[in-house]
Amino acid sequence: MNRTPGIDRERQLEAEQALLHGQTTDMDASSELYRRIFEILKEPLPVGLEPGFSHRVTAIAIKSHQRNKDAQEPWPVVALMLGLFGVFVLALVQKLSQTGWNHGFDLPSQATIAVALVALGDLWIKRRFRGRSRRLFDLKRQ
Amino acid sequence: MGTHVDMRSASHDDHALVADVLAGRGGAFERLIGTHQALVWHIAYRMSGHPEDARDLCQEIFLRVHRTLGQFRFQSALSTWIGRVAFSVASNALQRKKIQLVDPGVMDSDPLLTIAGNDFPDRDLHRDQLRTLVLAAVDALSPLERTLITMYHLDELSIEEIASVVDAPQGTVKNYLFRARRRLRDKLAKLQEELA
Repeated sequence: MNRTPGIDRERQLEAEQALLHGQTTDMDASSELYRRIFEILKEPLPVGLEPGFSHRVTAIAIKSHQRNKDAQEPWPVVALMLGLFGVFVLALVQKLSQTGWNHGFDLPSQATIAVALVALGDLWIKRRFRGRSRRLFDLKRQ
Repeated sequence: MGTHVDMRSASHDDHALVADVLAGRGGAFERLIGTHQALVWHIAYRMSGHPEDARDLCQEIFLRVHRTLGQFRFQSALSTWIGRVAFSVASNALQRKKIQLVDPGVMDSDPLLTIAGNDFPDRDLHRDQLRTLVLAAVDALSPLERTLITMYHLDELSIEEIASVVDAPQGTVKNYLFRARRRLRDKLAKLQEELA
């Protein structure tokens, strides 16, 4: 971090921008006033957070993290559920294709429909069984 | 500040702190909050303009930092990344309240022209009086302007860092800062006239 200390940094920015606007800088004419203003602007701004803020927020963050972690299914369960659902959807599409329902739908369209249904199923499974199997495993472990 | 050694040590500290937080080591996140709460407070307070709102924002910001710290790729200093999160959360909060970041029309006019010929406040102005005037003038700036002024003057962030925090080109930040300072001077002159 290259910082030009003090008034030079301000003067540099002022001159640069004044030049951009086709003006001459009046920084030198008012440097004493500017210096006083910059001093005031550099005065510490009291941090209005309570003393236990970091402890409280950390506790909330850890609790929230744990809750999110609990809500996630173990991946083998998700894979199994999705696999079963995928097989079900494929069987359904195959069955429907035999009845002539898919007249006009070529194979890529059928595959797209199947993928869309699996994605919807994935969402539904995650919403419906959110964290249930993990909680079940945890109970068994206890 | 200002040397490569400083940069390296700051980066090393960042790596160690982030690793500790991600590993869930006790006290690590509290340490992170302690280190960066001043910058976060400055941004939250300057953007919201109210201590109560700023407190809520600070909590929201640090919770977001905790949730997304795994996405931090050390492409900037940790403080810059946290500043960016703070600015983003605060901007969203202002948008929800339909408060404009910049006063409408302000950036379209050229303050250089409007203040041409304005006298500076009296150079012998008493320091306390000048302090009151400066703080009042800062409060009267738009949320973005007072945040930029604070980051530049108080937190002493470089233009590059500020540009990264507010996600804008460096030239834009320089221009905003320049205009904010001009407006500050304009407001000081007006406030002094009112007091006189």
